[in-house]
Amino acid sequence: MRPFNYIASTSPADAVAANAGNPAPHYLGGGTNLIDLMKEDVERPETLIEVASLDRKEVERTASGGLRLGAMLSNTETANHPDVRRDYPLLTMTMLAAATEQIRNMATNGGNLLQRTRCPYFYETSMPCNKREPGSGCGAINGMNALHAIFGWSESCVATNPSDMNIALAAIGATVEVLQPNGNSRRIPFADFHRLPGDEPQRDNNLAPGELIVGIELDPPKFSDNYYYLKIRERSSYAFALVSVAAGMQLEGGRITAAGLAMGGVSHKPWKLTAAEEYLVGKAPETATFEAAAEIAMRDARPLEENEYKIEMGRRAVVRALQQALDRTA
Amino acid sequence: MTKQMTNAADAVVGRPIDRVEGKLKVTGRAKYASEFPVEGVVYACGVNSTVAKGEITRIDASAAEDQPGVLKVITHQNAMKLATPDKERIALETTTIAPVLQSKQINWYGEWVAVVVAETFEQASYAARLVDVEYAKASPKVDFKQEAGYVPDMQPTYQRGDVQAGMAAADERVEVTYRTPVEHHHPMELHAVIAEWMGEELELHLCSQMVNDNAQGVADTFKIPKKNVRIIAPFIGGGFGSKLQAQEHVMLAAMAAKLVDRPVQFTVSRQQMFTNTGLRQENLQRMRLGATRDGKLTALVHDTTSHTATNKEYQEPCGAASKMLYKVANNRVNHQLVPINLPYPWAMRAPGEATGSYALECAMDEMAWKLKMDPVEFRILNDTQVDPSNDKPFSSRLLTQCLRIGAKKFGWSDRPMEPRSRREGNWLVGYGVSAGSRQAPLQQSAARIKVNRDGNTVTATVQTDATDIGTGTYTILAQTAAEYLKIPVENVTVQLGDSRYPISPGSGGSWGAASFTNGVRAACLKLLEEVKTAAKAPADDDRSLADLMDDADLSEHSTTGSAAPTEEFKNHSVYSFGANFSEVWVDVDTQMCRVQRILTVGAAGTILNPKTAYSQVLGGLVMGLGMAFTEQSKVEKQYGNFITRSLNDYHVPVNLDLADVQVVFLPEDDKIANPMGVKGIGELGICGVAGSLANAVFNATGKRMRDLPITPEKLLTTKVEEGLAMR
Ligand SMILES: Cc1cc2nc3c(=O)[nH]c(=O)nc-3n(C[C@H](O)[C@H](O)[C@H](O)COP(=O)(O)OP(=O)(O)OC[C@H]3O[C@@H](n4cnc5c(N)ncnc54)[C@H](O)[C@@H]3O)c2cc1C
Ligand code: SF4
Repeated sequence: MRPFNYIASTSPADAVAANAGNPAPHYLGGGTNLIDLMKEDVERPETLIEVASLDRKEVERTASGGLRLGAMLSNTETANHPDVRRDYPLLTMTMLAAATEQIRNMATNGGNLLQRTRCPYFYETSMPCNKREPGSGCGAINGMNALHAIFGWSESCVATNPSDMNIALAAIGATVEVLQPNGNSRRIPFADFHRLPGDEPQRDNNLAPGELIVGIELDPPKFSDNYYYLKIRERSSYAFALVSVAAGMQLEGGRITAAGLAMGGVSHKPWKLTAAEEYLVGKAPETATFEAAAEIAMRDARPLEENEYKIEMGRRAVVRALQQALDRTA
Repeated sequence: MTKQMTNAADAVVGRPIDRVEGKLKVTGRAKYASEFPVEGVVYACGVNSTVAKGEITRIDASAAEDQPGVLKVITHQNAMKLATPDKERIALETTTIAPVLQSKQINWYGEWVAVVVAETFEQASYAARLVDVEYAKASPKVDFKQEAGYVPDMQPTYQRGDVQAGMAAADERVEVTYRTPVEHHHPMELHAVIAEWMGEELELHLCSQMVNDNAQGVADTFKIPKKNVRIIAPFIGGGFGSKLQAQEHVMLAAMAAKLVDRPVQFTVSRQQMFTNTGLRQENLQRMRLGATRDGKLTALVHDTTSHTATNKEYQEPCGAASKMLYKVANNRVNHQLVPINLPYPWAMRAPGEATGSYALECAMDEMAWKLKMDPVEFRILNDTQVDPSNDKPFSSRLLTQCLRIGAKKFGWSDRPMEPRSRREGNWLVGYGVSAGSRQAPLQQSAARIKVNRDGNTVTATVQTDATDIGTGTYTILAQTAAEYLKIPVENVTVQLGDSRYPISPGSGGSWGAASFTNGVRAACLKLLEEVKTAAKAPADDDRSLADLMDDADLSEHSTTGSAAPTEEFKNHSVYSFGANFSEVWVDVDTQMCRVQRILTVGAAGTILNPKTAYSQVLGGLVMGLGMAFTEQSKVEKQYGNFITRSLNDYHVPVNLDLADVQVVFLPEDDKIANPMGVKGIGELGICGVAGSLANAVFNATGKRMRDLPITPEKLLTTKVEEGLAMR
């Protein structure tokens, strides 16, 4: 590992100030992603500003009836918070499907949003990767890409966002609260937070340099009765998703009145299935409806050489996640 | 849990006692190789090649050398000259000499190209990043399926009868190819060594499965007498074969220690364990079986093609079990190797038998299905008490009993033969069976016994250079000495893993338990005899050792004894046998698999300690499960590196993957195998497991999974076998 400076910040304002005043700075949350990447020589910060212990660990009710999750709260505490469990069981279920207990204990909500892709070319500094080293080429696009994107990729990057939590947030709807280096706050709708790779794959999201995530505000709860997170993976726990689906439905009088649907493992950003969501609203919750929604969901998929299987897997995952969501009340 | 039915209640051997070194381990007092407090120790960190083939054209180590704390950067330009064999490819052995940094030639991605030595680990690992290496890159061959192979000397083609005639005489034929991927050993303990020169003598704290052979390998590499090399290896955190030989990093540490004149600690990183400590190679196994309508095998052909490194040769004998497991007159077993630019393959738990039994036991299942015979009955019908590969009788073979008893305990009769006929909610349910076999070798093994008497109490110390790689060696040797000296097991101290102790064959090849315990037994009996002679007591005097020593006026005594295979052993085929039954659930939509239960019945002679034996078999089953469903190292097609580069990408099974495991040992008294009747179990546990699981997947889904591991992706894209209804 390269040598670095370590700063323990005392407040968010202190942290953003340190960020502005030091060379090659990086915030340090739980470190479960950043430290690994430093050991691999992928991230090379000269200054680490510790933020995980900052006082942004609350879960509070917002004026609109949603919840505000502190960015420094651990994934474990967030998932198991009684208000989250009661109002957003989809988020709980999703977060508990990620990584391992030990990693979730360390990981912060802010860090989870920003965890970087698991593309093996990104991790291996001897191979080309536009995300790690812009202009060096994308190793995966004509290489080993069974685990890569089928939606929204570009010629410069075909990586996926690895987070489970992000998928639930996309289905539920949220706003990311950010502290800017000038001390002002900024609110970014979750759907605009992550980016598609385009020709700037080095940018995973729309945070400006030095901005610190302080909270995540969840939209008012809708899916506390009918929800499911389906994660298809190569072993029963402790593996990233091949394909995952977060599904939530609001049901009234035998009809779907609201739907939240997002897919993981398929795109550079959490892939919200907006057209399928819209299709579901007003329909009867039954297999034929779910199958039609799944067709719509996968319509624009563009597979790479090794990942065509994700289309059928994704289709099945949508149907099954909706069925499981329905079966909660059945 | 285990059941053990052989031993009398008062015997020490056969009792499920706790590991005698267990407390040391759970309290952190057991010292592993890298943990020895060696004064003045400095740290080495290796640099790996980033091309798979080519030549080093320039190395600039100046930036690394300028770092604080850095003592030396060693490359092929300033390395010590080591022994290099003149053969193009070194045939790998447990005593192999392992030259390193001797040329600018690169044979695979990740080969050692430099080592940095510094005062601290952090300084060494940072400086290692700064070593700048340039290459003239050549295009590597990394896919052996594209290349022609050769038959290696170590595995000549085996043939009996006339396989063509046998195939022609068959009513049903199975002709299929199975693929198994590259796997890595990944013991929990990273490979590590501390090397220290004391004048001409080299002392190594090394995680080594075989200290005597490794001392030989190191001595030959440095061209020094073997007696000048001392290896100390009291505790080893698993090896699975990867610690059978002293590999290049051991030589690097010893070389670095010499060049900086300080003791050097070198720990291989988890990433480097993909490239520098061996692997199980990818195999293509072409199986051809013929059988008559009434279920008799008429021919069995097992052709394996695999890869080896361009500079080192190793072939796992995939066809081994196909020569001896079933009664078939016409048989051919052939292995081909293709040298490519991947790291060298090296023995991994049940080399050949683990992978070969997957192919053989799946092919047997495919044949049973063609014949519409129960696969348990089909195996029993082709059972044999004589080893058809050498016409020697088996010293004991309870395969039929394993299958019958296993079938009964498992509830095999509930299994519908027709695939896809059982469903639980979203799960398709299937049962699978396989047979397993593993040679039960015995090797010459010596031990020293020292006894001390204090009044009526005798305590004993056992010394042998045998190793405990997590298997339970300490415990079973304490039990053996207690049994034959007739003293309480608490009074026995076992000391292992030092090349100054009497020579054992080390831990490998499933010969450890049998060889070590028989060696200790022989030493104990010899000691008793010597004490009786001194006491002028008759040979059949059965008084306690304390009384005999008292009579002889001895307060202490020591002797060395050893055991070796007998003529009778050599005139028999000696194997352990087992049967694996499994229940696998496959999700209809996601295609994720869950192993609901595994039941294994083993016939492996005397079970020295049912508790450690259960752990051994359980570990084998889990590894077999990994082989079937999760483990694979994927090679990048153009660069030739592994893109699975940590335990995050290389998936070993998790608890949720496997619900319930039952292990049953059948009583078996085999005095031909050895006087204590012990046979190996360390590798038996993995043999056939992947076959049983793949067969259960077929029973559940109607899909023949001929390419491991069985992932959701593969299940999704594999079609149901022709002629089966898609229910
Ligand atoms: C072996 C393994 C398996 C895993 N499996 C899964 C899985 O199955 N599913 C899954 O979803 N995740 C998985 N993870 C990833 C894990 O969830 C993330 O590593 C974790 O959420 C990151 O949080 P952290 O606080 O540790 O972030 P860090 O590692 O501390 O930081 C990550 C990034 O975020 C930045 N950062 C951190 N906090 C802030 C902030 N408040 N404001 C601005 N920037 C910030 C850092 O500078 C850094 O760039 C796995 C991780 C590992 C190591
Ligand atoms: S997919 Fe993206 S992250 Fe992966 S190699 Fe290409 S550019 Fe890099």
